[in-house]
Amino acid sequence: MGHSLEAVHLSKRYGSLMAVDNLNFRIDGAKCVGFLGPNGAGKTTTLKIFTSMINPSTGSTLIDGVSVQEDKKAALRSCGSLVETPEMYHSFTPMEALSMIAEIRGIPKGERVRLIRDAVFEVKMDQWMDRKIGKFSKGMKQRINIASALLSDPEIVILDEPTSGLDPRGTAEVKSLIKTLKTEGRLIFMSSHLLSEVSEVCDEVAIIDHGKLLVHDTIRNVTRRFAGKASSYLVEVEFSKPVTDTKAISRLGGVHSVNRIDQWTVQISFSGGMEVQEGLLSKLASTRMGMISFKPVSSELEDSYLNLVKDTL
Amino acid sequence: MASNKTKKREVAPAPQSGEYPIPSDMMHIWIMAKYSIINYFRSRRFYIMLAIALILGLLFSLLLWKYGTGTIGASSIGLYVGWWGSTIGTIVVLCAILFGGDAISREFQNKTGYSIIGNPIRRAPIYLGKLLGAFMVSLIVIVIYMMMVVANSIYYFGPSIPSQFWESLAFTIIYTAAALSLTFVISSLSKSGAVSIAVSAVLLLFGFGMIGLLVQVFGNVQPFFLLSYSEAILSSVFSPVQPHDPTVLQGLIIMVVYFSLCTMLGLFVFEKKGLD
Ligand SMILES: Nc1ncnc2c1ncn2[C@@H]1O[C@H](COP(=O)(O)OP(=O)(O)OP(=O)(O)O)[C@@H](O)[C@H]1O
Ligand SMILES: [Mg+2]
Repeated sequence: MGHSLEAVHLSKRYGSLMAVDNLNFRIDGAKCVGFLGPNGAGKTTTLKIFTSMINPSTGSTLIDGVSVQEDKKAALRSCGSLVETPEMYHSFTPMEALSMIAEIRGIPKGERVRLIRDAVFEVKMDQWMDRKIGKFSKGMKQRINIASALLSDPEIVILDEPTSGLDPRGTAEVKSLIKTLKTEGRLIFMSSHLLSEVSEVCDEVAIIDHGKLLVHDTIRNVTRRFAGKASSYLVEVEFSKPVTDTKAISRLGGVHSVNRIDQWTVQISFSGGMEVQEGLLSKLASTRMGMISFKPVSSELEDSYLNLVKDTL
Repeated sequence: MASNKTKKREVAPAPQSGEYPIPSDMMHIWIMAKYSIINYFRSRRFYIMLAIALILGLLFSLLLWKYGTGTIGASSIGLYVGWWGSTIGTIVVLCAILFGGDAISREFQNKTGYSIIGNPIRRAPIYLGKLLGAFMVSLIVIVIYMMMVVANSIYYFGPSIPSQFWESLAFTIIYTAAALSLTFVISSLSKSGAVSIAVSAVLLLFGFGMIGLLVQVFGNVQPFFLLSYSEAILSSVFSPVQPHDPTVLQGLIIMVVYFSLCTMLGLFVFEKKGLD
């Protein structure tokens, strides 16, 4: 049976501000859906309503068809979440804090310690198992929060900017953790500002602005519909030898301009989308110029996002 | 055999990951109580409260030992009235302020509520569990204090403990529940721990007393609407001259009404409260 998350006519009003404005969407299956939008768009508010941290002004959220507002216990039963940056009791060790969550979630005594150890190991905090959480750094706490979200091996995972506060290694580890979760058939709904992260791990995106849904579709469809109609892409290309002939590059199909960044590196601006990018890459590789890296500076997802979200705040 | 096999599979399906049977609300109350007690045991204020009880107990023991039992009564009843009766109300009030004054507001202020509320547990068991935890921690302090009183009474007057003491102890337990439910509701109305603990302290330490005095002096009525008014029954139960104001029954009614109303209001507020 597939899992699902659904928002039905969901609104949250703060005074005169509609933080979430008649949001309707349904995501289901085993996939990762990125939740994007500018600061203050209403992402956290939406995820808080899904996890019953706040009540909606109108509308409802359903998890596996069960209303979170009507039967929280049943709805959140197979859902693990990390929204905003919660704190655990500072006097507790990770083992104690996670034991509490494990007991609340009904993990039987016999499995508790093993599951906690697994989860803490997964976020590389096993050496800190018996230290007080109050003394942890922000990123260490966030790792424990991730462990807590994944503790009961939930089928549905809701994450609000899961890599915020993490170091580069932590970010990479969480990214690969999410990819693993996806291959294990879970439904992941994750807000993020890191479009590279989203395009790497997510299959679909939902973009909201001013509390309203702008688009919800597969990344491929979103980029096909909204990426770079008029605009151009930028790639940064590095060579092992100093670049002498930038003219040769600018003669390649689709290229508008070539800017030298330093002796070995150029930025190439081109238009035409994925096909042109593919051709450019293979042509550059086949020259004898010694290309060692080819890195898109702007991505199609970023381009689509910027076309969709015209203003922040 | 084959049918037996399939039947077995139906009865006991392979445990699905992430699908644990969520504990009942009663179980959730108990889990919350257990972990909040652990948290209290790690807190400085639990030891401050314990120290207050111990110091007060030792002080009285010392005075009794130095000046003899004549000072606070020549009988065991006198000792219970003069010591237990005159101080236990304050011990209870201090417990309620220290253990309840910011119990809920702190969860919001420190964002510790976030890590619990996103789980499959209703809000009411979180509130009630924390209330139960605070109640049990208060009882620990009260029992330790009680043991010092009883030990002195046994030392000076022999092993028989007057029956009124057990009544007073029972009222103390009810009073503790009422006082905690009051500070809990105050703490659920605020998102600042400092504010709610200050309001609780002012109200329970002076506010109620002052209002009661004003009402009695100027209105010439008994302040039946104040929880502090019921505190008198903790000591008046020792005195043979009845009736008192309030009577034991009146006192008990005040306590029970406070407990019920405050808990219902607190649950209502906590249910509606958003974490933001
Ligand atoms: N408790 C609150 N009271 C009043 N307004 C609030 C409250 N919480 C959120 N808002 C408002 O609701 C809007 C949506 O906020 P939200 O936190 O959901 O944004 P977000 O999409 O998560 O933004 P970010 O990317 O910065 O995390 C914002 O305009 C915010 O100011
Ligand atoms: Mg946010």
